[in-house]
Amino acid sequence: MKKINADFFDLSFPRRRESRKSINAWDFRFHGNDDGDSFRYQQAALFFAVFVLSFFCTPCFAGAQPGQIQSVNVQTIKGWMDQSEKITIIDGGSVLACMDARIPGSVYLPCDEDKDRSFFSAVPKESKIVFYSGLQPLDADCALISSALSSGVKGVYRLEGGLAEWRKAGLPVVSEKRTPRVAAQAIQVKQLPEWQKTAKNPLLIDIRSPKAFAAGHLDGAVNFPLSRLHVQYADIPLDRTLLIVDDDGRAAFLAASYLVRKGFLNVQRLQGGMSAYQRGTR
Amino acid sequence: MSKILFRTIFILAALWMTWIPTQAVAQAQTAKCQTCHSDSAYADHFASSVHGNNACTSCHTGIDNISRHSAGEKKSNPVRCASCHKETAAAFIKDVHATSQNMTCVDCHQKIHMVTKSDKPAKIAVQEKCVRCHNPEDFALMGHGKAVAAGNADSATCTDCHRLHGITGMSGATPKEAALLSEAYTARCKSCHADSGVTKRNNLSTAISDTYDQTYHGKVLQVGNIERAAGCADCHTGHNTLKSSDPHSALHPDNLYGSCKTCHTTMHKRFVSFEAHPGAVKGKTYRALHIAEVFMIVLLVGTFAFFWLHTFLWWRRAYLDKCRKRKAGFIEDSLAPECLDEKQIQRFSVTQRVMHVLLILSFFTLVGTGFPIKYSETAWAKVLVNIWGGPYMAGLFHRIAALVLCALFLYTLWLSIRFLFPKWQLRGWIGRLLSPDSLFPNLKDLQDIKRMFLWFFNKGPMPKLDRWTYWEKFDFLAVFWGMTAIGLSGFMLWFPGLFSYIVPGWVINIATIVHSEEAFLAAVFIFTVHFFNNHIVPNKFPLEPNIFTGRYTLEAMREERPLEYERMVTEGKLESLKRVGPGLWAQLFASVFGLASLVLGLFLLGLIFWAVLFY
Repeated sequence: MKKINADFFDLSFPRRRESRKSINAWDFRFHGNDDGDSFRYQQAALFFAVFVLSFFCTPCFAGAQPGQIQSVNVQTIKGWMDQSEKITIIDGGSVLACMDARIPGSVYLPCDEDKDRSFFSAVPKESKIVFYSGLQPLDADCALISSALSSGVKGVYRLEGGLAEWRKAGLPVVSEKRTPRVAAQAIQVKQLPEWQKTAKNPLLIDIRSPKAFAAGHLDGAVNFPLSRLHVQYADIPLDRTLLIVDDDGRAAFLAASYLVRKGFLNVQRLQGGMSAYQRGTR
Repeated sequence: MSKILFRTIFILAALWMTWIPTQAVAQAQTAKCQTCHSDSAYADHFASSVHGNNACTSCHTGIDNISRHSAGEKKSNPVRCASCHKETAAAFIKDVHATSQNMTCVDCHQKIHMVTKSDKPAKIAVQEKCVRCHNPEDFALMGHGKAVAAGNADSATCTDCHRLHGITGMSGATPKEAALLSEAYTARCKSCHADSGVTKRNNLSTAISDTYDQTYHGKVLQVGNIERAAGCADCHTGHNTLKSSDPHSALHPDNLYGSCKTCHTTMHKRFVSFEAHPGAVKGKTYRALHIAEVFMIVLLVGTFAFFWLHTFLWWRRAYLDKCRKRKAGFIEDSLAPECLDEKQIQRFSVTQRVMHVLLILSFFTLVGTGFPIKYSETAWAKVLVNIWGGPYMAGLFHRIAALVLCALFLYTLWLSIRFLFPKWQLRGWIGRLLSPDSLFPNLKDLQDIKRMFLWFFNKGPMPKLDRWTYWEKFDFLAVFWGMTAIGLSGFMLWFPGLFSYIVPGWVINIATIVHSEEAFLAAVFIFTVHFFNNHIVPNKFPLEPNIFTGRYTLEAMREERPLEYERMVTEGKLESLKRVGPGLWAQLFASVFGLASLVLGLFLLGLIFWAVLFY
């Protein structure tokens, strides 16, 4: 039986109580008069078109989600550079790591230092900003990244694999003041209890960010973030046997070498850092 | 002769004469530098160091004004070791020490002005250098490292596995990188453990390497499925190469469960009795494997000995018959197409034909994806795997085809039950089982075999065959054994962890043998015996299409299955079996699909024989 309902063609939500009763939003395909049918086919075609287009357009929008940093690999950056696109590369790591090695032309803006936010206002809007860190993981909640995201630039990215991937791709780096590495012995996680018993005046130096340190650290560890180590190292007592603890074992070697250069005699490092410790104690 | 000698002496003298001044200049320059740089490192040790023949300015370039340099106004250029050590520098650019730690030459080669050649063996010297930073517990105090320190020149030092200046990574940042490293480490392990000289000197056996290659782990690694294969270092946990009797070894019975569980997350403790190097050690598992292998070999040899002989004798007799007919003036028209309007006899139903097509598709998929793993060491294995879209896709196709085959098997089982117990009637099932319409062998089949052999040797007429011949019954029943063996073992290999809740791990080793040998039996049987019996036999060559068209001529029925024909006539059923000949499209499909299957099967048979004969 054919059911005629004039309100049915009104796309707006029904206002009248009685019309609301008579509408079945899902059966428009099968009811209504001839004119209404053609209109409903148009509606269906419109919905279908929007549905299909949404699939095709997803990739267009995927690259520009506002308010989110995206990952980018070295090859893509190389492609941008070859096409002379405007890119601002920011080293968000520590001074020591930055002086040790950095991408040529990159700007040093440490994530955990609350300054130079105005930098982004000077960055051209059509530019892309790429963050990387030399030896430590880039802080996901870095305040600078938020500033960059809100600056309205074309895109804010994080370099996948950091400086190591850059170097693996055979791209150059500059070393303004490299810290010569010294033989700083690695201690395995399973050896840690024994080390704490046998080492002379042991002291755990945690070089992770204050935030990571606050989230969890080894018992008795003292936080000397790598980004501040060059100004705070003097506070570390010289007569202690130091064990450097970092995120994943990559930054501790630089920190240990730096401290040895500054006169600390007994410096060792935790192999694999806190990641290895968490894996080992899980 | 004297002329050549004179010339040689002259050239050598000239070279010596040019070297002497060079040496003298270098020494003079060094002495000049040492007037200011008079530290012990330069004054006392440099001359006897490995770089002692060089002048200071060989490395410290750019000092063109000594006065300005002395005044501290002009420093030398940064030292570039790469200007002489080109190859080493090129490798070191991508070394993990450089990429991840920004290390340079002097970080390892410290006190560069005093470097002398170590008086210790190179392997020990390298190890001592690496453990200055790397924890000795990791390597130096274990297995290989301990042997190196004890003076074993065959044992691996750090650089034997990790290389010297081209270390791309230790464990890999991504799964792909880790897999590539695992593959590389396995190759390096094999470079010694597959070397008969090295293993003999160290009271080891190359069987460890050989038998690994025979396992699923080894085989999938060889065809390139590096991300899903356990390499040496995955089970032996990198540096921990201690004997399995050592409590610290990852392979010690107390630690083995944890080691296996790293990858096989769902598994019972009895899984650890799986032998990763089956047959390398002659223990309890070895005996079980040996028995399984002997059983499969006896089965293979027995089946092929009978059927290949049967095939050969049949071919000989059929060929001679055909020649005789030709000579007598009977020209056969076997290659001419069958007429569309010709009345034919229905032999196979649509369901049976569809089942056979599905069977062909799944069987070829299984052979095409499984045999590259069985013969992973062959040149064609990787090519075939890549045709499927790589090892992962080949594995996926193999499993899908296996499920299709299982479904066909179960459906056939259901049809068999329905045949034996129509409307669930139990009475008379033995009669139905041994009836001419049954595919179960009976006494007549034994008589037929005997008569067939007599016919082969011209000692009697060809036996009168009924609806199903004895070789067709063998084909059918072999599937029941084959599917049980190959299907069950296949599921065990697919879900080894899950099956460890039912059977101990060493049964998986047995399953590997059964799956592999049964696959060989099935494939070679189909591509030789089945192909011959149904298609290559001279009176059917090149193709018997009735399994695709479902029909054959009355003449063919009378000739091939006279007993069935007589039975149908006596029972008055012949008319009900008569149909119009197959349509054009059915004939086209039968020819194209059938011949393509034949050609593909023979091609795969060629690959299998290639592997058997040359690997």
